[in-house]
Amino acid sequence: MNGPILGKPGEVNFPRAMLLYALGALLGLGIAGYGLFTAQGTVTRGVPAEDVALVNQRPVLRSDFITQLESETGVKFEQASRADRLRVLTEMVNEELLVQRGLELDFAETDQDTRNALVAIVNQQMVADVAISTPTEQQLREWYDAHRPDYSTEPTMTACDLVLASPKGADAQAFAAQALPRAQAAASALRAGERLFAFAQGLKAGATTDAVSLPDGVHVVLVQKNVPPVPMSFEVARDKVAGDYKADREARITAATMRFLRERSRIVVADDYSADYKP
Amino acid sequence: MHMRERPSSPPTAGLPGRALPRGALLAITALLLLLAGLWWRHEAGQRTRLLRALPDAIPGDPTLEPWALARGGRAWERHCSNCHGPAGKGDRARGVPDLSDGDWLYGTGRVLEIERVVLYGIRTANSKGWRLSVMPGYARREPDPQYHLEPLRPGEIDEVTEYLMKLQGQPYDEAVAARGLLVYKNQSRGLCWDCHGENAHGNPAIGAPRLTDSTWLYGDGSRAAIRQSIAGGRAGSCPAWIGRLDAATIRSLAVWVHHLSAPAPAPTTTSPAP
Repeated sequence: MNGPILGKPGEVNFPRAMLLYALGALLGLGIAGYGLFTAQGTVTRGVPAEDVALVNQRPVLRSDFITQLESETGVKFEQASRADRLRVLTEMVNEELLVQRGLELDFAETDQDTRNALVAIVNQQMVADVAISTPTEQQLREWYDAHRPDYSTEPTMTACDLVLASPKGADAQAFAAQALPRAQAAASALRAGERLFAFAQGLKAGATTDAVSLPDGVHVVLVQKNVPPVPMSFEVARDKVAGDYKADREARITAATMRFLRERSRIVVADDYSADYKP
Repeated sequence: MHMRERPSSPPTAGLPGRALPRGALLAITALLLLLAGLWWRHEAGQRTRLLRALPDAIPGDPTLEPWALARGGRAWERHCSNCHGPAGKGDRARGVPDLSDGDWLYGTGRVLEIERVVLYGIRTANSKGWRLSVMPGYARREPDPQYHLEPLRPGEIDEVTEYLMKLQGQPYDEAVAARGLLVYKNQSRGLCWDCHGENAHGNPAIGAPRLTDSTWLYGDGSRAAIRQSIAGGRAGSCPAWIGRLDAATIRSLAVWVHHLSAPAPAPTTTSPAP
């Protein structure tokens, strides 16, 4: 058969056309209704399947509900009583109501704890993408090549600081009481690697420094072991490279975000500070 | 102006001789619409049942688990396998955990707990996620960015490393390991025991790993790798997917990850036991 299927030009099948119009209208209404009652932010009486409640259209997730109930009762959700479930649900709804009330009262403006929490979370949010990203090997190698002096093994030194001697005939306890603070200070100086280290760092094992006069006395340092830093290969330093690379990116993103926030804001500084205010 | 000539023959669909009757075309269209509607209804029903079910009850459910695994597998390929690998084996060089070994750093492997990680991530900006602790870098001037901790001396790091070698059952120096135990249990410096526990069994509530087994998140368990973790610190992270994936996909992902780690059922044998 070789006949037409769309009918002759100008010929209209009225019942069929009305049927198609009706079907099209129904389909359109269905799609519109689905979108209207399921899109985020729309007011609906139905609670989405993933939520246990909606409070002014703000969802309370079932996952949060189960976790909170288990945390409060110490038993698994399926073992919790109906009364416990309803109590926890009420608590969560109340919490959401109070949070919404807090937003209405604008505690971000008046409450320091709220401000601190907001600052902390925004700081974290700024760098969240960097924190969870994985830099490529190429990026890490380029960073390593550009910062080679930063990647070496830890230098270690074992040294003996000769500084105090018990005078002959002195009372041992009295001497200890007198000497202990000085010995502690000397130990702190050694541990902190401050002035004495500067004198000893170039010496090999077995060597001694010249007498060094410090406020707490005269020191002579005997170097017992001195292992200088050794450059690390990329493979060995990779973890530290990755950490440094991320820290640098986080610092850059934080600075860029602050710059963006400043640029889109109108900040007026008082006369007595405006001259040298350069954030 | 030149007018185009109207075709003399009516338009036809398809090749001559193969045109469908009008009624058949409408019937096929209606059938396709009907099938699409039924499929949509089935999917919506499954989605609702999946989200209203207790997460831990989904594995083993003959209707929900296959549906969730199919959906979760697709989401895994698209969003997770890039880091975790197609089979979830992870990468110890980058601290990406093996999700197939049944050893859980956070929680105990319940679908509910896995879903929380997928929802809120680890060390993300979402405070509902796990972000309480990091492994401090004890060779740094400030080991922990959040809490005040004194750094450990290089010798102390060596000693704790040796103690962990002992816990691992690897060759170790007894005297050095004994000093390492003192550093491990020091109440004022290091504070290793505070997260990893007195017996070094870890704490899944904060993501502190067990140090007495051979499962390693970073490195191969060698002396050098352990020392590197203690000296440089660790703080892996996982993105939060809430708001980026829909709830059914997130739950399906949790079921998929649980499935990756679930031990294979014991093979049934028909031969009598000896």
